[in-house]
Amino acid sequence: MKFRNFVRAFSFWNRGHWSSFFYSSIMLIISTSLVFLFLSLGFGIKSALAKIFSSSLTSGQILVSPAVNRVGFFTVEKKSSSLLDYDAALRILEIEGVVAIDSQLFCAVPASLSGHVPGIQGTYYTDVTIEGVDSSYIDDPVARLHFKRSFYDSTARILPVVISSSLLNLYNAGLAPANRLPGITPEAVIGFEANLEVGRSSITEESLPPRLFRVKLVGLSSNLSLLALGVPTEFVREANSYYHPDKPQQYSSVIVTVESPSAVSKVVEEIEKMGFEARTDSELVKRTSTFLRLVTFGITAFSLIIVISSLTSTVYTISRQISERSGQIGVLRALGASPSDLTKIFSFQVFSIAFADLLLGYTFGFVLSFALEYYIKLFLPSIYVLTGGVITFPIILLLIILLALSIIPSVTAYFIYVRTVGRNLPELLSE
Amino acid sequence: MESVIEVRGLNKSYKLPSETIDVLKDVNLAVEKDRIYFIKGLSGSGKSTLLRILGAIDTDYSGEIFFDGKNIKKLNKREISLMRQKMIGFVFQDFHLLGKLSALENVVLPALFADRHYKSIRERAQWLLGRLGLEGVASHSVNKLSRGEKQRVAFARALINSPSVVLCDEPTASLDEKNTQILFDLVGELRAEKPFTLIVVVHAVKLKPDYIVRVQDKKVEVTCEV
Repeated sequence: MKFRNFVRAFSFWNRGHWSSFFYSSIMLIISTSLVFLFLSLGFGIKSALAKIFSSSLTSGQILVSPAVNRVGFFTVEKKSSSLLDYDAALRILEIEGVVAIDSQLFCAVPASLSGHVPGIQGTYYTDVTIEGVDSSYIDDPVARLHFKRSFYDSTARILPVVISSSLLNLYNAGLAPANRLPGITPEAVIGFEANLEVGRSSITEESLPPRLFRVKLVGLSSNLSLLALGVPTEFVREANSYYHPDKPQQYSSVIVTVESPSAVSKVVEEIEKMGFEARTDSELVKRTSTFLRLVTFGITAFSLIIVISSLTSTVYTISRQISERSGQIGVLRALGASPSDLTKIFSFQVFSIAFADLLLGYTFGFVLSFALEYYIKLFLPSIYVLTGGVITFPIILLLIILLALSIIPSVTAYFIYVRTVGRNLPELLSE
Repeated sequence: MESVIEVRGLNKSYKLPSETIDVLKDVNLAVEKDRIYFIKGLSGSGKSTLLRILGAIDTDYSGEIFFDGKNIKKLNKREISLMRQKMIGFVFQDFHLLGKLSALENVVLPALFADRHYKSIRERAQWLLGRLGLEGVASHSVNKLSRGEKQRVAFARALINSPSVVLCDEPTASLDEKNTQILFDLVGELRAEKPFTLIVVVHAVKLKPDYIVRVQDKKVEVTCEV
């Protein structure tokens, strides 16, 4: 059968009968647009959460900290935990396969931060915990180069600091929307300046007089403690020695770099034997991605069930139409149309209806997703800044789903119609 | 005279849940090329059954039927479809036209399944409708046509693929004498231009065919009227 004749026969056969597909088509369009929205939203949320939970640890690094109990954001050091001091760091460095150690040195001196939030009236004051960090704790390689400052340098010299990227996320996700403050991007927060008073906080004060420093935010850290202010290690070491010359220096955490990712598990084992907690990037990624995968799978499965039931309804409508028009099918066969030609027409009918409805559904889904993104940007700008957008369009996946969902019912229909159309001709004509 | 259809030892029965009803028994018949045959008989005698078997619509029988020398029983579904497409035209008692289509589209439809160019199909459909006096209603929906016009559209549709045999199941059942005469005159004119065998199941028609096939007591009897 020639293609152009096929198209005409298809058009003639369906003339005046398209309306019977109205309800199944509407159902299919709505369900497809929801699938599009759910998938785009699911992938968007997945990428946004991955951004929030991301760690700058590479595959050959281990984050070591004293063993702690975690309760939400808060961590409490276990009584049985070993002291993570200089000696412990040296012992970790001696483990076979360990190449280098970057440390986060705990500052035993109270401190407070005060200053202006740009663009907002008034000043702020907050007690802070200072942590001395090595360059591995800083995400931006350029910022690492300038991350040096002694406690004894002139107070006129700016003290470079880093904050936890999770703190910025927390601000954008919670504090900013709750207080109607604008969201802050990581780029915008760099260069932020404030005053740091070391030796005194709102609740305690050292016996020696406090010292005031001008600080400037030079970078973010994915591995720094949530509420800590990261400063160069030598600054903390000197501040601890200045205020508490007899107290041992203690690390909040160290990042251990091993010679190859394959050696990580063995080193982790050794570190845990020493009574410390060891976390690797793969563990962090596994923990978050398992959850995200479950959420995405659930949403996608639910959406697909809706689409498949809509497609089943389309196939059912055509099957019913065929059974109602079986007399006419008999006439066409009596006039020379072969069962295979007719089956091709009906399968093409399912394909074209499914494809057109899915395409329309995709268009509506795209509009819905775009509108959602637009309103989030408009009414929840801090969430938008935090996540960089909650909608992602997985184009390839969406195209594969579109084709699969169009082809699967057509093939299913083909096998149903082969049986229906191939029935005994006198039987068809008698209906 | 050359035969276009040959029936040898045809038996046809309908199997019901409680019994088997024999309709045709040991029927032998040779249908000559380009002749007109009227199949007559009482209601329920098996006229329509015989017509369907001759048109390869009903293939559930015993015996042998040769259509243009080919044993129908030995053809597969695709070959039977091709044979119906190229060699057989069928006019149904109730026409079975597609109500949503125009007269022209109804005539064109069966030819679309053959490997022919649409332009030639359309030209032949227009020519046929013109010869049957339907050029003025070619674009009208068949639902708006009179019974006589529908009957002629059904005839045009049966002739679109230039078949060598046209089978009609009581085509004049709902027509008055005048319209029946008009229809047969027009078909006669078409046959004069390009001859074909015409086999018609009729009840009571005053027209004279070449042969009359009487179906009675499960047997057939052919009488020459020429």
